[in-house]
Amino acid sequence: MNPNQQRWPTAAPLGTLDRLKILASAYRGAAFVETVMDHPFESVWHAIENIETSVPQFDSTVRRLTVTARSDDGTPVRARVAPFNIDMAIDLRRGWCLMSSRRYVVCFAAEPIDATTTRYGHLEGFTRNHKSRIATLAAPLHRLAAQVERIHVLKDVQGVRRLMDARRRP
Amino acid sequence: MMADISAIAELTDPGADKIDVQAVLARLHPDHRVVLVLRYLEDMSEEDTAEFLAVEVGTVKSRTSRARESFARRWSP
Repeated sequence: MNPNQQRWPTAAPLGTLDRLKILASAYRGAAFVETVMDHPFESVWHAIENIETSVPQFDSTVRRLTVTARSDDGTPVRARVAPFNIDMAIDLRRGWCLMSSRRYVVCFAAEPIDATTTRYGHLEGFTRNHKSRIATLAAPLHRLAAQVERIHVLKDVQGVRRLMDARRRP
Repeated sequence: MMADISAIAELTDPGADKIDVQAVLARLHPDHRVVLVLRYLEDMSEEDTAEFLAVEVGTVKSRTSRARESFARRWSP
């Protein structure tokens, strides 16, 4: 085996940010932003895991997010987002929140770097039906949508930072 | 993150009852899985990926495109 092969990547479980990066590669109409938060992971996750309160706070385009179904342990599994009237499936785990509908996806993930800093990633945008022939024709539009969406995602990340800074103030 | 090449076949996410990124990644053709990992997790350029895999840059581009499509088709949370 040559030295390059011995450097073969990952067989260990992927972290939440790595999962998000792979997911982001598949959504051509979505934008992905990764940043470092100057806060401990527990603080970051505690601030955003309650999606009913956090999402309308960090995303100015969301007026209200209402959890419409929960699993037996109380974890949200479906939610409705106003004013868009979108019903979204929720996959919420520690450090990972995926909210998806047929047309739109939002996913944010966090993982600790060390005791005081956290890596945070945010993916958001329109999905694309890869089985559709029209999807190929619409590919340039999806790329354009992703560029526009990036501005939105950057604002969301700023929103999360504001949430964290507000919590830091006495 | 780096591991032996033989371990890539064991890339699974045991215990995950929901559809999971790593589980979908594990079901991809090895050529597709590899190129996604190198390009998006290792942040390798197309040129570095081509050198690493001993293939042409054009091959990396086409494999990456097909890998993204393949992942997206299998991903249905």
